[in-house]
Amino acid sequence: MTAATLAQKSSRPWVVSAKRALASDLWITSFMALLLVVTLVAALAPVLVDGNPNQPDYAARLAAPLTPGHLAGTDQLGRDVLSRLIYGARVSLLVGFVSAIAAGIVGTIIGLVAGHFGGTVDAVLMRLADVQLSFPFILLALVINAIIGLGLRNIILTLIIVGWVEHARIARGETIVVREREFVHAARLMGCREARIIFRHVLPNILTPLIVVATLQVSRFIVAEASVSFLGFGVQPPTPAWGSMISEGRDYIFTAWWLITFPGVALVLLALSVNMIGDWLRDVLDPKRIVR
Amino acid sequence: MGRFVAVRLFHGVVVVFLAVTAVFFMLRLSGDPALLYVPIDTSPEEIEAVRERMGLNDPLVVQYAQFITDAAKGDFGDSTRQQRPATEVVLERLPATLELGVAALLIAMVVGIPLGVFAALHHGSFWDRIASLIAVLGQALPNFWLGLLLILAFSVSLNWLPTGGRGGLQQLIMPAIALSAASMARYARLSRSIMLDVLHQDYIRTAHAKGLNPTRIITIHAFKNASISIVTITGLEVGRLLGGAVVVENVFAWPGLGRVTVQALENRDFAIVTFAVVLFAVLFTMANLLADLAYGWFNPQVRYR
Repeated sequence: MTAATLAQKSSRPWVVSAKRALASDLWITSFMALLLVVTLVAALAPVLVDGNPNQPDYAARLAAPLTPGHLAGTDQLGRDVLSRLIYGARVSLLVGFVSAIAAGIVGTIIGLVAGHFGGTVDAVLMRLADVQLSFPFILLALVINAIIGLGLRNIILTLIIVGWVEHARIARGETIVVREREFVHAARLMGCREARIIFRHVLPNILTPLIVVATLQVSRFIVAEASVSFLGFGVQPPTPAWGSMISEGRDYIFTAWWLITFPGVALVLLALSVNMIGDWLRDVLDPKRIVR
Repeated sequence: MGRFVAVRLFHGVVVVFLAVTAVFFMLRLSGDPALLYVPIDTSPEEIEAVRERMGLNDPLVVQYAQFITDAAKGDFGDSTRQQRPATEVVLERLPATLELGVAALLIAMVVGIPLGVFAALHHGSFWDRIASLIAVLGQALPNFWLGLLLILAFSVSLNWLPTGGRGGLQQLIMPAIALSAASMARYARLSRSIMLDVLHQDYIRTAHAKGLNPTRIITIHAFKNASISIVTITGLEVGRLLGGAVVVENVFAWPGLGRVTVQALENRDFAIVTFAVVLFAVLFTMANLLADLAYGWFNPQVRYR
């Protein structure tokens, strides 16, 4: 065996096991493909959609799907539903990923600090977490969103405020375990500063569960944004977001079934693919877990 | 055990107290409440008079002390819209939410648990995949959209059921199903995995080796043991159903806590929002406590400290 192949084999075993699991499961591959397609469509929205998705066309109000020029029909203002769906994907992906990643960063830092130093800092931060966890998630999102104001930026902010707790709790729990390990003591004896110990020695060792939580949070946040926007908070019309599209279409439920159906299908498919990928990541990244 | 309950209750009271505090400051910082009490063309002098009367010119700490004192006496202020105590407006909606929640919980358990057990018994088969698919879909379906689909099918197309309101079974069935889907999926997933664990235990193999009737093994030996762990998630599900009700009630115009909260947020009727949020926190904390207690009740190995 040459040195090159040996090096290839030994490098990053989780990449190998991920590839193997991927190949063996067509199921998960198709969800990944789906997520990729949605992302591409969202990224290429200005190229794919000709004109402004908010441009009303009163002559073409409530056209049924498969009408020439309007594959998914038009809404009550004559706007093309497919164009709005494509732009809506941008909102969902943006909200889901940005809020989950930001909540992950904030929560991880807080959890690391609380777990590493313990004492009063820990007690205060974790009581704060308890208070937040004593409300249903969606109620908290609604109230905070209503207080700090509506719109795309504020729904992202809301979800970060609501979502950091989950990461903080996990990061804290894992940190408490890792900080007693020998390599942390060794680093301290070598004269490392605490910040370096936290971010260079502890953090890499607690990252796996946090990545899984963040992934699962993406799909929850996508649905949460849609729910909040559906209730009239969150993203405001005329910005095309799937939740607010469903909310607007609801008034036409007796005449135009497509207005609530298509955005809902898009929402389910996106949430489902991210969720499945999250579940799969949990199995792949954690060899101790038995996959059934 | 008694000590554990007392400690947890105290802990719950502290959490609810902190929650009330958080709500008070967030609402006070979000805008001038005096503007909500007066018509739009009121002169600045009159607004100032209202502010003075409502105590809004006092330092925030004084206002907070007043608020907490009143709240401890059960006085959360009057609804600006309805001109009566917020507690009254909110509490009269509680039975509707409980009714919806109980119905949804029953559906979730009655459908979800057998589905999961069935999947476990046919592990790896086509039916197992179908059951898993239902469970996965149930978790990804946003409850409000499922609710609208039900309306589309059973109210718009078939004209079998009313689109909303509260009354008899006819009004209850669709919101209860929409609310139960996610819970049902979790029950199914959990029962499947617990049943699989149990079915691989030694005592099940022993029972088979003794030549016992397979149906008896499944019902008495396996399911009875699995059901303990399955039941323990019910407390958590109650909490989740409360959250789900916030959204589902608004799809079906169900006159419960979720609907009154969302309407109050729209009207910026803060007395109602404050009390509703507190009530949610109390219910949620109680559900979690019950979940912990149930866990010990069904599993004597758990010792409370």
